[in-house]
Amino acid sequence: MNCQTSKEYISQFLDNELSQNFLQPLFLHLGECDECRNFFVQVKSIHDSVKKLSYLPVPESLDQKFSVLGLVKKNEPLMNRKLTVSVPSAIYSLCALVVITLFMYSVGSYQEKSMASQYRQTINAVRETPSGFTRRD
Amino acid sequence: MMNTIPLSDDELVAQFRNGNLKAGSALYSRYKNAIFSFCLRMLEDTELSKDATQETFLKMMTKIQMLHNGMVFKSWLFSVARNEVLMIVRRKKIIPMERFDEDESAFDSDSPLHTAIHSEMKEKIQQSILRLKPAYREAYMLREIEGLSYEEIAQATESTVSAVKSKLFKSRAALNEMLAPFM
Repeated sequence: MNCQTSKEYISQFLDNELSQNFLQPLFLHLGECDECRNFFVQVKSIHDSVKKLSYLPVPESLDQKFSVLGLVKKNEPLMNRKLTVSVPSAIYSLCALVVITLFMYSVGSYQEKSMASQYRQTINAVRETPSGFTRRD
Repeated sequence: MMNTIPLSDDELVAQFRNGNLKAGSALYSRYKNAIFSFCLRMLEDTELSKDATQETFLKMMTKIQMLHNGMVFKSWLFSVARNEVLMIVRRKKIIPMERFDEDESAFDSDSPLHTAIHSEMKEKIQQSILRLKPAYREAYMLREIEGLSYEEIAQATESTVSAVKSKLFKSRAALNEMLAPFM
């Protein structure tokens, strides 16, 4: 076995993809070749270190986007989220509140006026009805 | 005490295909960091990696019906992520496309981002991985970090098993060359 083949087999051996038939020739070669033995030790050391590399966490903004689509449980990211209110959103909220209040007030006063007018009509109708008789329409 | 066994990708894919969003949520949670890390290590840019990750999972949602074998979900998802990375590379022209091609040398000696020597070995390894050419880097990461089999890597990268073997060997030899002075 030459060194090139030996190094290719080392790579497959680290991945548990080397056929059993090639194990013995590989280790026989490693027993007698310093260069390949050093290659094996170093590559194995890098292989073990790389296995310990951690994932880089996905940014929270991406989680938020997918929570809208239903792919992230809504209470999950909220646990770690800070409550922040931006100035524009506070102004918009305040304006919305004022508009809703004015609308409710105007609806209320209209209803009040219409009820008062109905009440007046009823009173007038009652007034116009001759006493002692029940008005029939 | 009851032990809960997490559902396999295959089971989750089947449920997701039947409209169970919780299954989709579980798949997203299982792979979001892996996909983002893969994109970031390929693109070396956080914002672009976020875009690629987002597109990958949007495609997962819209194209899951086309995946008939849930057993290959992981390699399928990485192939989607890889395509997103390649599309961004083409669109933004951030990395010359020829760097995605294979040639005799597996690493870039003139990669501008990674010339600084860091003190920590872990950092050195990270930097050395980034110096691998993209075609080698993706195969190496899919094997060493994601644990995909040769067959799965071949599927994810539209390649062959023998090409994958070759890329992994060359990547290891290149990393060994880069890191030998520090070992």
